[in-house]
Amino acid sequence: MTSWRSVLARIPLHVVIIAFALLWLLPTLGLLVTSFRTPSDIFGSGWWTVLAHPFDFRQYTIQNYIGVIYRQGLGRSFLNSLLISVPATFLSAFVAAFAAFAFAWMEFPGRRALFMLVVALMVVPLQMTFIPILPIYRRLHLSGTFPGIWLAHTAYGLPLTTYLLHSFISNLPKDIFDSASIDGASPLRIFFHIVVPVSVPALASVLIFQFLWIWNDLLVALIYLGATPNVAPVTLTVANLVTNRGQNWELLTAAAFVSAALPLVVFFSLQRYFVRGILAGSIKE
Amino acid sequence: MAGEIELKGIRKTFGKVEAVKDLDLLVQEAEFLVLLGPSGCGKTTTLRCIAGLERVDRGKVFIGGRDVTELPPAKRGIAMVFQSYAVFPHMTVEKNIGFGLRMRHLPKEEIKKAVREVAELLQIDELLDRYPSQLSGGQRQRVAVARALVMRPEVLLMDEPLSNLDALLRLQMRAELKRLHREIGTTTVYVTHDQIEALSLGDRIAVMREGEIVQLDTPNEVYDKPANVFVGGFIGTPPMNFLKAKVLADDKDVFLAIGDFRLEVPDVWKAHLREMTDKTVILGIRAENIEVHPETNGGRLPANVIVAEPLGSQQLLTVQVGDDVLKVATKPDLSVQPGQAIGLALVKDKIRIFDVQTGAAITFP
Repeated sequence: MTSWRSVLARIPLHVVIIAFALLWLLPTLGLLVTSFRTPSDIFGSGWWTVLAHPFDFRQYTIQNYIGVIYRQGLGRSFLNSLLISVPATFLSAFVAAFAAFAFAWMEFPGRRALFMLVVALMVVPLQMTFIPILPIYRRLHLSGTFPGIWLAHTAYGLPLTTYLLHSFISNLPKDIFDSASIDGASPLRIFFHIVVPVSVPALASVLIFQFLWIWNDLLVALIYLGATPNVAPVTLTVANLVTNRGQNWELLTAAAFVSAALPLVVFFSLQRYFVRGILAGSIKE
Repeated sequence: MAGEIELKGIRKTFGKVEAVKDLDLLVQEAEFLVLLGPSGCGKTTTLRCIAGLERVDRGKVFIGGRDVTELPPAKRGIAMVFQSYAVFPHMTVEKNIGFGLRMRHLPKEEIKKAVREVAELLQIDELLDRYPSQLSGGQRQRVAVARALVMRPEVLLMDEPLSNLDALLRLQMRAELKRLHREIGTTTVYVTHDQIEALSLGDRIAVMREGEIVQLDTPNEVYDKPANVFVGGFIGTPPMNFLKAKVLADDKDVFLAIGDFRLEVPDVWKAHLREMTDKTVILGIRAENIEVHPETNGGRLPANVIVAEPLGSQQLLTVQVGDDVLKVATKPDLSVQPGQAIGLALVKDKIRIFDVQTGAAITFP
């Protein structure tokens, strides 16, 4: 009786959720279908016409994908994006975890003020930093190099990642740290043996966050790395497709899917941690 | 000597709050000492100063005759059990218990052996492969105790270790801790706000209030002879009864007057009390040291029953005497009704008197 009523009560909620999901999925499906069609088909009819006989595979082609990956250099860009994102993501999570632990549990003069400063840095627009930083990069020969952009992304990401990890780590019970220090564990051992293993959900969410942000970044890459094809990430190559080849957007649809594929895989495989980690610290367990 | 703890004039302040004020304490080797007091009395801070988790502002801490004031916790030869258990959620019971020994870089085989021994002592040797989330509260508590004991500390510190357990389990673990202490004989300092725990476990109890020890005695002494009104009121369920009384003397005798009632005092008091003639004092008596008589005449303190509560093994009466309300413990089968007038007889030897201003016990040699 009551279970029926609770099922009925949830129907409006489910209707709204499904409506939103469809609203999101429809253009994505359109993009996906279009990316597999020939240019003449694309300009001849709408993508929904394939729905009449969706399993007739003669109407599909992978030429668009071959085109962007080989001829337009998206393959190389994909590799560049990985070379930028993966090290930069791990570097910033690593540094942020150390910083968050120190801010939360180690006592040193000016701890509070320094932490406030780090949090306050979240509001600085990154555009403001280009002019002071670029001359330094040029002097150190970091412009246009991968280490250069790793450092840039790490620095821009640190305020938020440090703050997120701090809110998780500072909520760990104090007794655990006291107990470990009575057992003779140094702060470094406490960090690696206790803090890192119990912070896995928070660390995972920070890794996803950073990865998505860096993967999708265009501005920082353009400024610190430049647009030369051998270093350009996926975002830059896709942007070039838009400007140079506004007319053949069958290539654009394929490029869009290539660039979105990896973030989707990362997100869906780690989404459980993502939701848990974002909520971390907001509720007392 | 090995497990002796001595605190010499330690002081600890947090901002403007003086948590511990120039405290002196000597804990004998193999003693079970309980620090007892209401929350905020400085008992946990005192314990953390012994552990080295707090730096003292002033004073010295000696463990086993060694000045450890400047040493970090790990170098003090102590182990500690926390209220929240403080077990590591990502390690199995075996890894949890062995953590401290691994930090000391002991050989693997030795760690395994030591962990097994202590697990058997605490009857958790079946649980070594489990994770803390798979354990009950009582089992987690045992792991926490095992983590401490495996280090073979000179001194074992416990901070309210039973307060997260439910009532029945607390009763069990209390007896268990007492057994453990008898078996291993490690000097133990135990912090609690539960006076029953303190009375049942302690060789001696240090009752603390506002950063100071107000009484340090055996459980029976603390219970029967509280050093002041605070201790009498804090220890015992129900707490000690307090009444205003006036010292009166005539040519022949000295006695205490409660309203119109004249209470006899022990003979040894009389000479001393005579010097306090006409002064008001606070009279303290425990609920079980008051006898109830259905008739009100003949040398009994007249009282009116307000409430009668049967508690199984005894009956607790709340009675009105003049302006004061007293708790009286009687046999469970005594039949009294609310509103009934009764006569009370106070057991003469169990009376305590206290100074009205300071609340300190007035004792006569």
